[in-house]
Amino acid sequence: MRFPRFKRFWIFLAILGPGVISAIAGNDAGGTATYSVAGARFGFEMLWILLLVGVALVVIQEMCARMGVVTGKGLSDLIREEFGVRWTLFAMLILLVANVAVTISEFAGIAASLEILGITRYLSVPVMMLIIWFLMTHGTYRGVERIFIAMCLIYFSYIFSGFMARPEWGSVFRHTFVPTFELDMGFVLLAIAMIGTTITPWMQFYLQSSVVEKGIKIKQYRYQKWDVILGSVVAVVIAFFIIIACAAVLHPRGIVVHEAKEAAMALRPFAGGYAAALFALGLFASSTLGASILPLSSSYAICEAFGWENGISKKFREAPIFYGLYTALILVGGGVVLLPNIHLINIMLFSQTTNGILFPFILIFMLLLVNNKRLMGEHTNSRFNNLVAWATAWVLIILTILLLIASFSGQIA
Amino acid sequence: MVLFSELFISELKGDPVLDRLQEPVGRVEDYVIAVGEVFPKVTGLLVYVYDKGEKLVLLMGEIDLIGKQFVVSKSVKDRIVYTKPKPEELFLWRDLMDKQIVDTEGARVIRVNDLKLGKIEQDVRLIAADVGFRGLLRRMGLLGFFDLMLGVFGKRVPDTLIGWDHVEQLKTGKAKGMITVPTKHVSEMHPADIANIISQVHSEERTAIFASLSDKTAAEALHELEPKIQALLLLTLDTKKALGVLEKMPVDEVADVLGDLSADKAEELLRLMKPKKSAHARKLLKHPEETAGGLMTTEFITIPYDFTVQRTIEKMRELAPDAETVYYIFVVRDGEKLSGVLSLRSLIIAAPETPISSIMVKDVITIDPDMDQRKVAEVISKYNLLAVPVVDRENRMLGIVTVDDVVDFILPPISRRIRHMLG
Repeated sequence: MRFPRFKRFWIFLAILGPGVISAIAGNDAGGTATYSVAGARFGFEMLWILLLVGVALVVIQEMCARMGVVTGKGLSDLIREEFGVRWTLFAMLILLVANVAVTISEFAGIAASLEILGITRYLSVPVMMLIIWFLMTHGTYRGVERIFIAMCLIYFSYIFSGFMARPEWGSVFRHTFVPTFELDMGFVLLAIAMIGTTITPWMQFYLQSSVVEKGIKIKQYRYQKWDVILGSVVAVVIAFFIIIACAAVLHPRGIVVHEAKEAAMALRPFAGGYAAALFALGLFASSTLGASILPLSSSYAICEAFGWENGISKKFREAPIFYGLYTALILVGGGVVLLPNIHLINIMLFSQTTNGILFPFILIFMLLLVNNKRLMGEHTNSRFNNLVAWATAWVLIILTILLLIASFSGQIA
Repeated sequence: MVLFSELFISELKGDPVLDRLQEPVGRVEDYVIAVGEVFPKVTGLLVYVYDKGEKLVLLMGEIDLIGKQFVVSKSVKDRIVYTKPKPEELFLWRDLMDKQIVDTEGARVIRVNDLKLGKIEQDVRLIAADVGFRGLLRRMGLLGFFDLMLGVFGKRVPDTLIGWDHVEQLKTGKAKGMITVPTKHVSEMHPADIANIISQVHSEERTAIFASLSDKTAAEALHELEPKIQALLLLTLDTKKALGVLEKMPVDEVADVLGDLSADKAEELLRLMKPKKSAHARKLLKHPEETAGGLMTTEFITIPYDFTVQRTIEKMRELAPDAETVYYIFVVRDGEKLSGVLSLRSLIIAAPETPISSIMVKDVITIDPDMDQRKVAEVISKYNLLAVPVVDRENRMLGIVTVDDVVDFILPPISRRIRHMLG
């Protein structure tokens, strides 16, 4: 027996696994900017980092989803219940700073994409701030979300562009597997940004909550696991081809991407004269998606951790902190972009670096939780998982220290 | 034993335990409690004993004084008797602090920021949960500072306490025993309030709360939830309970809920349900969800054209228990063809011998099964109906759409709480 509405439900599920969604949303304004600049400035040189980040992404996202399935609780709930109020305050401040940075970069993405289409940011950003605020608080977002996710599929065109740009494949393979490192401020900054934009603090909170909301039991977990792995692989493959396309098209011409317009040229081999428009649409969709998800998911995480009333079904009076935070995040996110003389690409890169610097703190909380036998029983981390995750945390910490040393010794490039 | 009249457990954690001669012997780690009473009794303190290098229980009988910043025992250092903590023992901090509990009075889920102890007769008991800002500040060690600052304006950070007799523990907490004996249980609350609570807790707890409700209450609560949560609940409940709940739901709601499940799961449940109900549900499932056909129920009352008032009333006594609404009685002739409608009111005020064909309203407002749900809501609202019959082209009755099926299109959906659209 087949009912028409069953079909719809399954298609819905097939497209929108939490793993795949957060991966698609991960290739947002900050991601696009970081990968484009990495390819344009350093050619194929940073591909090996992406390969390692890809492995870390799969391991960390899987860990996060597993934690959601086994405990049935979100990450902020677990931090609060296991570490108490003070550590929760610390973790939430980290999350807040990281998420404010990402929200700013999303609005920068909105501004940059629409400026390619000739709309000034002083019009686009305020209008989008209003639209997002209303869409999210009035519950009409679900339908719109699917349109944006579909628009994000534009990013797949980087794969075609990457092939059609005829890169030197030998060089691509060499740089993917043979590390090269430059002790240069720009390189270190970009390396941190690349890790920070691929594995973000907010994504851990978002993914774990989505998994919990789906109510998946441990028996069905292997399907969920594949959703997460597939999502991570898709995200990394797209990032890979953004770098390849930019390295093949922009790097030889000495274009270092000062403006979003220049990044768009990487799509020329595939889209020709439509490259700019295509790039703008993709960037607009992914930035809007991010700018919609981030303020709301941050408010949820923070209010849940402290036990404050939350939820868009509540009235402002019932959940003042929730709405206050949500509104403030949008105001700050959009407001910063409107400051005079703000350089959009730089602010996108800067926000991803901030994420990379802050992520180890969240990762350490996650590692302590996922290895807690009382919580996870037999589902604690394997030795390999621990090795990869701790290595990620340490690499970020060491890179941050390098960055500090570099900036104090005045090697600013 | 002496206790400061009231005490928050965070105030004492980590503070020294002194022996009779004021010599420090350990520090307070946690509080052991006995369950079974409305206000649970604190039976001892878990103390980290310096000399032994481990955490041991100091029973209340051994304690002379519990102060705000220290505990004094009755004996001198070497003569204090400790007991080993047992795995089944419940600890206030480990098992309750920072966890979510249900406030059965306010019908909401809250997080425990601190716990208040008080002295009732000779016992120290857990009397309230601090769920407010004051508790958070106290935990962060910032309360003194804030009170000082606000004190300048003659104010203080307000207390938000909930008496322990008004909270219920969530059923899946890692604590093995129930630490709460509330005066009112979640299962006794109004189904709409239960739905509100269910939508605020995590999936495991949701299933646990739901499984503890009677089938009837569960059915009503299920109706108040958003479709995604409904589907999840039916998937996680065991089949027997799920069937029990479905049996108590009106058939149109059954169809709605099953429509959101996978085809396999829906088919499984349909096969196990009582044949009559599942046949009706299957019929309804064929209509798209957002049309009159998808909204309607097949549980309505029809009476043949030639009945008298007396006979109609007798027939209704038989049928009413299954019908969704008894306020309208539909009059049919030649099988199921609709020829009129009677209100309960006109039926009651008419003389018993009157033929119903003479008191029924012949101009019945009907809709066809393909009509869009918003249109249906408009019709119901425009003519002030409690229900509207759905008929096919031959005017045969297929079902009715009642006002509560479309009330969400007329009024904003208040009770259908959406917990999370996102993370």
